[in-house]
Amino acid sequence: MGYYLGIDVGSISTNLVLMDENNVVYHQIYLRTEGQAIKAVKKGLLELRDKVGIESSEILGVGTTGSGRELAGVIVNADIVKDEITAHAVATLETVSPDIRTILEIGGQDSKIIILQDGIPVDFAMNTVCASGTGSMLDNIAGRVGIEIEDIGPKAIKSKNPADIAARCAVFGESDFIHALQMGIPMNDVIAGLCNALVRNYLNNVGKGKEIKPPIVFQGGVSENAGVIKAFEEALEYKLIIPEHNKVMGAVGMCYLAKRKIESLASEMSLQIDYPESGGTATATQTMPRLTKFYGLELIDVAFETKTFKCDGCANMCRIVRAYKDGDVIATWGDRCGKWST
Amino acid sequence: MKRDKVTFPHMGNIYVGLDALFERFGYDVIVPPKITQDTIRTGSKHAPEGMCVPFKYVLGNFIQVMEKQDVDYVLMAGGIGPCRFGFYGHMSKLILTKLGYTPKFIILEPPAGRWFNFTIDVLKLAHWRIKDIMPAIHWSVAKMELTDRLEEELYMKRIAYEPQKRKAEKLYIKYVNRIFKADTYEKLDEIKKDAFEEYESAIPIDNDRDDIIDIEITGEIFILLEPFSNMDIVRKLGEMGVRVSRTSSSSKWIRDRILTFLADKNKEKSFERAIRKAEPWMKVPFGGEGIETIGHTVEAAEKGFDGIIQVMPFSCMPEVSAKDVLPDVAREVGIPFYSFIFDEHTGGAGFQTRLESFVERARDVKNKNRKSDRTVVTVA
Repeated sequence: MGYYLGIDVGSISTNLVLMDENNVVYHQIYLRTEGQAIKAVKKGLLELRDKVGIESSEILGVGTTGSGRELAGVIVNADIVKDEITAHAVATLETVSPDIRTILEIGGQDSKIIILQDGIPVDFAMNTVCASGTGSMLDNIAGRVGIEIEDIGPKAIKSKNPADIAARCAVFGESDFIHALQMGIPMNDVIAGLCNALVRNYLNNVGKGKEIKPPIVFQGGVSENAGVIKAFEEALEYKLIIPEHNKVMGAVGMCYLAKRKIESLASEMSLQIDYPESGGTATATQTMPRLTKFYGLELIDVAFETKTFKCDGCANMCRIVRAYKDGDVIATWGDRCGKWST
Repeated sequence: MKRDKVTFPHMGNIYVGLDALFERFGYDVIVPPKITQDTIRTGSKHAPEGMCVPFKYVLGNFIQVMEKQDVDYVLMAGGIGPCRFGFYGHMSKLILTKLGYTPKFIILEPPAGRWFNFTIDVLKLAHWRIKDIMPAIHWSVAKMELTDRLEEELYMKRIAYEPQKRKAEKLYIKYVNRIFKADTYEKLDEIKKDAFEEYESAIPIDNDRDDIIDIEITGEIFILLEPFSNMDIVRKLGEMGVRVSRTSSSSKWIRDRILTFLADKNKEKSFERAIRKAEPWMKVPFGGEGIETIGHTVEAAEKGFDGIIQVMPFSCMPEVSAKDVLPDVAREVGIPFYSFIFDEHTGGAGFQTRLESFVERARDVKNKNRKSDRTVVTVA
């Protein structure tokens, strides 16, 4: 079998998705990034090799996205590196329906809205400097009273009378939250109020000025939360579609984009990608030259490291980051002037 | 005889013109160090925390100069109306006095009804060399205009085509330095000719490439013109295959806002046209370049740009007000729109993501319009 690999390195989670040539998601991995993108990517690849039993030659193409897409792209030598908006839109259009008009996406620190027309993303918005209205707002406030993020949804949907929680800022939201509890309002109502606050913040901030038309898809980590789904449906008065791979849509999108990239390379070279019968092993790659630039799963055992230094060429004192593979420099970035960048 | 030392803050190419101007009036001109991380570090250390970021750059630039040498005069533009820019000069003066720097501040207010003060200020600055004033202004504007032309017509349009990274930028820096040193109009003509020829041969424009799109940048003037403050938005867009335009430049700003007496009274200025175009949405100017930003968005759609980007400092009242109507304006006139807010932060990952996404959207919309053969609906 031949597979395409999509990697989404976000601020909170790193997701890997393996999709086969028939566009079926074969395996998905959801890991915490914990600030260490290289480690998280390697951990994901290790799972693919040791637990799923994938061989390097079966991977036909690799794409990376997310805020860590450049670093991840360098580490694996990705065929394509793309922004999250494109990746999410492609995944939804391919796996849900080409008729989707609106995509709501809420992740750990990012939230986005994508407006589509005739299967083309024509407008988008992302949260600006503030993380209120994202998953971390739920995580932090609920975490303060010892509620796990997974338990928020089930508690919230039990509420018949949600409390009023300020939505503008997570700090104000938290004081309202604590105040409501001190007044003796039941926990379920306070949690439901928190979900409403998140939705209100999202619609007034990220969704401001956008025409939200059905069909609407809701994805990203927060789309797991039944309380937020209910709050959205009440506010928008439309049913939301939650896709099957809602938590890893960015990575799914990158599988499709990697596939398109490799197929266009093949057609440029007038090669036919000769997919083997399922069950076969590495034959896909034997019939044609390997088109992917992917370093292979061997990179798990390769020492990658990044080193930084301050350039003293001018008063900017840019912090230059260099990535090394087995001691050799593979990429440099971080400068404003272009003296070091590769 | 000791010559007076004069300095001024950076904003885009304005230094080229001001250096030429004061040199003609017999000053020792101290051009402040190029804006760097050090400028903003210094500026934000001494500025009020809630102040908008261009002030922090301006103040930082003043301190950077004054730490090294004594300065006799500081030139700063002033302003009237509801925008904090009007405070910049007065506030820098207060803060610098506290720090022990006491140069004379000349704050040029736009001469709206205050011709007397304006004339006295100009005469003082010109060392009362009345005969030199007009030729010096003319020379200074000529230098600035050439610099802006090279930037807008050559550099910003050709990054998308450069064969090696930063080739367009290197050429641009080379020619700006030549303009800075030039001392006659003949030399300016020669530089112009050389620059156009060298760009044409080194980075030719390939009109067959349909992946190249045109995007205009508008918004608050300082962020618009100063590359450090806008995270090099022009170069980043260029490297994504965009021919970049912008709605103002140093020379346009000086002509429209300070040297209003030079303008042809019968001809509509570009900012007046923008205000007229903004009328269906906003009837009264509300400070800064807010209302122009709305008008420029309409104009960008009319001119057939594939996208428009608004840039502004964090907490900029005029631009924030414009931003509230811009999504509607952009939708009605049919142009992809995005807005970026800049402050002291230098973490560029989020900015890069949004910029890349916007360029992708603009490109998708262009291809879609091309396929359906639909022309963009515009409002006259």
